[in-house]
Amino acid sequence: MQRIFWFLFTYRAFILFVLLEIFCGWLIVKNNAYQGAYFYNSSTRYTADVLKKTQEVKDYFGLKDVNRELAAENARLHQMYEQLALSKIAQQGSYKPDSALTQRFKFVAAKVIRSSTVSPRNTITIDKGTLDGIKPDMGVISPQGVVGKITACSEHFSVITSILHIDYRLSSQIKKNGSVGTVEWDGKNSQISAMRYVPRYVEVQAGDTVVTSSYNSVFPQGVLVGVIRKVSAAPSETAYDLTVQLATDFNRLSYVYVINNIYKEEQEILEKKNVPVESNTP
Amino acid sequence: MNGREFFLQAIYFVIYVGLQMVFVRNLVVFDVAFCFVYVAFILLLPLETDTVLLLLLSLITGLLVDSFYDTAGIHAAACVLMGYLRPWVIRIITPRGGYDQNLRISLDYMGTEWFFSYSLILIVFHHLALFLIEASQWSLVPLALLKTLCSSVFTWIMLIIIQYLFYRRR
Repeated sequence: MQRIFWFLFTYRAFILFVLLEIFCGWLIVKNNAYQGAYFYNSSTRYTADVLKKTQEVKDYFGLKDVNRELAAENARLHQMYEQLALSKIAQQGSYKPDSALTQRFKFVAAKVIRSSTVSPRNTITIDKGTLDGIKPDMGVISPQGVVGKITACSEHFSVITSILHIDYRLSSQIKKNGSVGTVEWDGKNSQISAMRYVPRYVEVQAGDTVVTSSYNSVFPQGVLVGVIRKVSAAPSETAYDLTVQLATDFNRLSYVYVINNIYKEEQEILEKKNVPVESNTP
Repeated sequence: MNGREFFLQAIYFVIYVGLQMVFVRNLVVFDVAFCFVYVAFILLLPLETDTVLLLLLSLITGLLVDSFYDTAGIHAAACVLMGYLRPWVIRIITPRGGYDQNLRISLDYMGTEWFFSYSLILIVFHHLALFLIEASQWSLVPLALLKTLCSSVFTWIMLIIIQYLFYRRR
């Protein structure tokens, strides 16, 4: 017995070292699973408060860009409004969408207080939380394009897993012909992603627009993801290897919109009940 | 560690971790060179700090930094590794004639050669562990090594500058 104590005492540093490393390993595995619920992150109150204060100072230097982006978005929305108003007149009497469905997406504007683009698993912290109705699994977009998905919330803050995360799979489609693929990030350049699983028989060119597909309940269909920059394919593969220039500039992210799909749960429960019969790609 | 020493180290902790959180966090050069100057707190603890205490302090420092980077555990793991290796490195690079009693670790006390090699070795180990854990995928290892190289140099230069500015003997 005495020898055991002696042994433990002599090697106490090494034993403690191993135990602490195991503890850290457990933390890493527990928290880096991107669907997993975080229990320890930057939405914690004190951490987020410090982040918010430092971001406030930084904001002054970015005001010009924020103004320009907001003005551009205003212009875009104005244009869309005009188009909608016109099409409504033209469409009168034909197909009537369910009035509840037309307003199924609610938007909450939030301010970014921390963002990273240089790690293989990037996250963003924003200054709105459960008190503003934000819950995990909601989609987040910016005026420029897709940003990511909420993974953790506290009362006043939330953490977003950005699409610049090597485990994130974003269901998207090529706008002009509707063929569906998955946008994945390789962990290197924050402006470029890869799009996979677009079959070879579909015609794709550099310059085509990539938007979110309707195959997910997180994002509305048609949110801009990026523009295809390079089309290539290995001879033995049945799918293209597409390089996508992302629309969102994650380095200068200032305001984002959290999307609340009010029928998300309803849609998911229904989809779980039904076995999918066939995909409807052409 | 007596009361005065403890108080001094607590102040160093607040200064270094605060510096990291508020200013240095946003300092990234060409997306590959990061500055993790907070490791200076662990590097500059008194020479005779007990290894057990050293490990625990490393863990706390790492966890606090993690909460700001949203990388739960990664910085902590790297810091604990560095804390464990510190006594070994100190032993390996013992100068001729051994160490004096109650010596404080700084550029002035320990001499340029000793301090340069001591800090650089431990910073490289810390950064290597940090970026390899963060990569966690074979395809990202080359990038992780590049990040280690650039960031080690960056952090090290920052550490030396701070030494020259604030730790000079009057």
